[in-house]
Amino acid sequence: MKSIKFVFTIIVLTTSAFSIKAQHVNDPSLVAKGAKVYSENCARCHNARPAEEYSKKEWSVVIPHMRAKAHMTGKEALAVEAFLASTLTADVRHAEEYTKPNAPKKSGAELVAQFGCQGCHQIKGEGGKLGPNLDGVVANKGEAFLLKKLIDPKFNNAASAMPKYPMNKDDVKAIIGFLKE
Amino acid sequence: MLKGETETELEYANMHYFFNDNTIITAGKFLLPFGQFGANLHPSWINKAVSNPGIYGGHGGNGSLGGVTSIMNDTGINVANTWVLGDAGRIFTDFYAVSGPRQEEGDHGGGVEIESKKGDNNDSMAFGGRIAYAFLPEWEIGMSYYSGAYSDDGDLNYSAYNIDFNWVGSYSSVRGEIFGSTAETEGEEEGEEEGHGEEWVKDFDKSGWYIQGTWQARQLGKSWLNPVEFVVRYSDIESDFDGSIEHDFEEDGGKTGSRIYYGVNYWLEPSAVLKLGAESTSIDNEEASHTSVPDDRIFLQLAFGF
Ligand code: HEC
Ligand code: HEC
Repeated sequence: MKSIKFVFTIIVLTTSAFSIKAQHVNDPSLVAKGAKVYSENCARCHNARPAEEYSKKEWSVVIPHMRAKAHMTGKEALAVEAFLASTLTADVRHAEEYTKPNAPKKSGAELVAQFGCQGCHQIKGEGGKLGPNLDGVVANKGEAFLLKKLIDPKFNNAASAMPKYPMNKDDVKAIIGFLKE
Repeated sequence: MLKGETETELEYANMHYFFNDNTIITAGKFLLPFGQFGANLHPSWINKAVSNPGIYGGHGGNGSLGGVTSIMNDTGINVANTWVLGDAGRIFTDFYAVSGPRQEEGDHGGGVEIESKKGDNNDSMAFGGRIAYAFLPEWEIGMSYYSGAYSDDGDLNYSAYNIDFNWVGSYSSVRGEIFGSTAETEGEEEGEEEGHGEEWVKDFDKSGWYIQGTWQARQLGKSWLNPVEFVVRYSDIESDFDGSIEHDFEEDGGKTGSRIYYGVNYWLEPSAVLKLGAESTSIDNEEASHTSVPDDRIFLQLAFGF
């Protein structure tokens, strides 16, 4: 038992507080990877918990714990945290070059890639399976439904794992346009 | 635990040390990575049913079924590893050393104590581990083993094995475990006149399995069915308890049989659920029971997670 107490002390001393950096949150490929890792791991034991349930700080406490439970690698855990944090951060919606007054708006395809929709949804044969296939969803469910669903994923399903994104109407319309193609 | 006494204890209070990208060392009190239910699925907002699988007797109102002797948490150190095999393949390993099982309190020695208590009763530690193969996101199959001395003098051993399989799809899931435990039991033949009889050590084996299926009615595409989920679970336990081993069981500890649970869950949030369930238990070895009333129950539970 003595050796255990010793190791325990070392661990307390070496574990430092960990918090996601802006550079990771703003890295679109890391965020997209995080959405995929999330979709493949976070519903294995319990319902996947949507990002908006916790603050970024709280996720920094939950994710190391879940990294251990889920046996994720450090890289996977970082990607998941970047993904969760990105959906909680309004300013990632448009990276710097897009915030200038006459800059082009992001296209639907760019937004879908940046938000990691395909981490959880299949679109044109590519993507995860946590959420339903989105091919033909506009035709099947109508634009009005998508408009509501993307602004508030819980409107028709209180247990939805889909994150509530920091989107405005323009973003939603661009995404609907892309999904119609 | 004495009747009428309540005891609250932390299930886990531990530290993780992220040694490198693939290795995590955990020290303190933790849920043992043994099987799936005890380690990952028992919190009530995660458990799809109101009750526990029959093989996990003794934890959380298990009715009249005895359950396989299971130890859920302990204090010690665990080393977890992850090997990445391509995009979807993973190997997960856990190896731990913990302070080990205790002997049940009681006049006659009793059996293995399954509630965790502070401190160990003997010098020897217990060791265990789990090796699993996962094919993400749907499959995971694991094998676990645990062994440790439980008696006060450190002479009697408890060991357990578990095989778990898990398939989690977009709308449905199927999980199961095969679980067995062996506790050495000692006793003494009746001595002639005043002398001591011959001492014996026998294995007291219990084993069982459960399988659980769930389905989310969301698959039907009707918005009012989005929160509704159906659950079926069947468990079965056997033991070699036939009265030949003299053993002071915790009440109902020796009862074996089968149990079926049907449930409907209504999800209010990702971690809040209203569960309605019906369960029927039948006991095979009547000689172990004090009563033989049929055990059928109906449950209603509201469960919240953090
Ligand atoms: C191997 C099983 C398992 C996997 C995989 C898993 N969790 Fe958990 N999770 C649990 C258990 C068990 C609990 C509750 C008990 C606990 O905290 O240990 C929990 C609790 C939580 C909680 C509640 C807060 C907390 O810390 O208790 C959140 C949020 C959560 N998990 C998010 C996630 C996310 C995000 C992922 C994917 C990265 C994930 N989980 C993957 C088992 C798992
Ligand atoms: C973390 C996983 C996740 C991500 C990322 C995600 N979704 Fe979802 N989504 C889901 C899940 C799970 C459902 C099904 C449950 C529900 O109805 O909310 C869903 C449902 C939907 C639906 C309704 C489909 C139907 O047939 O009812 C649409 C549309 C949708 N998502 C679009 C998107 C778009 C567009 C994005 C990217 C901006 C996105 N989702 C990102 C998980 C996700």
